Amino acid sequence: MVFPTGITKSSSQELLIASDSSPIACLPPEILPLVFLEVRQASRAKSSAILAISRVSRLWRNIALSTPELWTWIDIPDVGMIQTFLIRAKNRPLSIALKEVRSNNRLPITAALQSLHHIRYLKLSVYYYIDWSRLGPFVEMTRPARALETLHLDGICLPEPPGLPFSGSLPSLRHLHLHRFDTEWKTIPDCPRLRSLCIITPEILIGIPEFLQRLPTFPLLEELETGGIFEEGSGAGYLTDRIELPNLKYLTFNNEETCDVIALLGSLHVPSTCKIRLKVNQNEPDEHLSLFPALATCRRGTVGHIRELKVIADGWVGLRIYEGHKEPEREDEPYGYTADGRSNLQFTIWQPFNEPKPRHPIRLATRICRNHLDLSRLEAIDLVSKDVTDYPTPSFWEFIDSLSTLRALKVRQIYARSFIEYISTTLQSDEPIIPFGIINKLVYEDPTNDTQQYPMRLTGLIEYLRARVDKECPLATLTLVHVGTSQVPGGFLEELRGLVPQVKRKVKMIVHNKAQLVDE
Amino acid sequence: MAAPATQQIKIRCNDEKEFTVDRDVLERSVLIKNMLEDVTEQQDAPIPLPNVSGPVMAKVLEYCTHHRGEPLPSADTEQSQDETRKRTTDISEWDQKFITVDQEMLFEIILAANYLDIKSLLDVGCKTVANMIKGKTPEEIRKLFNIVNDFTPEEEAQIKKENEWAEDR
Repeated sequence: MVFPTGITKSSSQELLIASDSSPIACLPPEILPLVFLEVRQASRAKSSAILAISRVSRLWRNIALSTPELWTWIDIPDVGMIQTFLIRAKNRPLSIALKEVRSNNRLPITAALQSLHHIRYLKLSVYYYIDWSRLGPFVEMTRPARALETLHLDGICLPEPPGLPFSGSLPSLRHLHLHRFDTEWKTIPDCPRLRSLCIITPEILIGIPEFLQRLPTFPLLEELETGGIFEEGSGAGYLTDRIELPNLKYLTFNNEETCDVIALLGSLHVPSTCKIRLKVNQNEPDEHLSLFPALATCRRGTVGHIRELKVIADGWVGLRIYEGHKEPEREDEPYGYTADGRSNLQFTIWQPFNEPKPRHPIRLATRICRNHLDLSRLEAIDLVSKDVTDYPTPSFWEFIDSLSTLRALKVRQIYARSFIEYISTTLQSDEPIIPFGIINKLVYEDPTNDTQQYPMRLTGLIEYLRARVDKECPLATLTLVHVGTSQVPGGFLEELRGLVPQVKRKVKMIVHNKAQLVDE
Repeated sequence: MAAPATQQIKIRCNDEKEFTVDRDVLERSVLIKNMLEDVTEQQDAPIPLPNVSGPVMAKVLEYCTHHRGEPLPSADTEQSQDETRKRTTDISEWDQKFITVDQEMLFEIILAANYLDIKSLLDVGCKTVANMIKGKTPEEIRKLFNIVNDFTPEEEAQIKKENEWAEDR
């Protein structure tokens, strides 16, 4: 059912008198549509916000109804509403975003698809699956969508559709996102203006040669993301000239096999500034080490001059590499971390749960760092591990010692006994274990928060610091996290405070259901 | 030849209140900028602004002084209708503090920004009003702005029917 606009037009004088006591009534009629558009922009339920506005008063309703731009965003999965908005939007390009449409309610999808000729933005997501057979003959729905700029389909299709619901090319399409939508790769039409392509559909199984052959037809591509879409091993032995993606800013391969990602990286050329994120499965031990040469050539050189390194080893092999850093504002300020996602390169390697655990993530990460990354400018390391069998070995500290530009080291959640024991046993050594000569910030976080079980956990570290830290030492900040008072000998903190400008002790507290570190 | 940035310009509001302001501050207003460009010789007489009162102009000048030197929005960005583009709905911390005024002053600032053609200030004003409106029911909006519900019962019933979808949820 389509609703009429309904309100008989009154004279503007009458309308103004009706709302005269309101300060907002002083705004001229040309300002209110600007406010209403901002309301829509700021609202999560955009269509409902516009409906609410149109119910406030006669003046507001008439202004809303005479502003077609307000009715161009449709997010209500109701056929009557969709048609009402379509009429009120007149011929303006439409944006339709129907979320969580129930599978048995096919009408809103049909209504949306029938307006394809003037839709600019279309996002459909459904519970479970789209039953194409109930939407009507597929051929009848395929029509040109020349204005379409964004297409986001999220829903499993049963039966598998013969293609996308369009005919001809999509000359305006800039963003194509298909989630769980198992259309065949070859049925995706020509999209010469495509900027972002995201396909996360494990069932789709695209052959790598077939995928690579289409990429040059998207010359403006800036973002490329896949999620488990490649036919395993389909890139083996495939040889092609490097495909240039000169505008690519983000490249993400999620849940793909390592061998397939190596084949893909080996076929692409992306700018050295392109941010790459890889999450790969590995079938062979250390298979992922072969990623690095492929990564380097894909980015035309090295994998990057890493300035900040974060190693997360949560029982799995994990390594995140950040580029980007926060310069200290003052000369005496400790080096800071950003970890704000401004990385140019980020990868995590993981294994399915039924696979045996990898060997000692920190050691493996160290090996990767030493052999495959350019760390000549590395300034900060953040080391996190919860694997009790894993701890920094002598070679790790040798590695740390070799990093001449390192300014900050965080050691968090490392199995502390091993860490401290190592420091304790080498306490007599003349050579520094941790290069305090250059590091100005050290964070030590106890993994257990158990102050009773290992009361002497910190002994080694304390002795070490006593021996090393003096007034010439540039250590500016020492932060002890989760270190109970019983672990610290009386007076030691005061002693440290005399030597190190900033000594903090932090505890973890639950604030608003989130764990936060709070200065004690 | 362009006037030096430190040139002082006088303006007179509708309550006879006068301000002497640096030219680059005043030129945040496209209206005044055009007026100044049309005047070839330096004149001492204040520019009359018959639609703005002194207290409101003082607020507007506070805004213009804070934002002096920032690039003015171009016509291209203004007219873009791409709904899928990322538009910021955020208001900067300083602007938020600046625009925290009573409703009467808020709407006066919006009116002045519209008259003086200061796009960024008009945006801040409209976004502030929009943030007050968003998430509210029609009745809450009426209460907020003291707006009279002037729909007839028949119209009310018809509109309610139109909105049944939303109310059923």
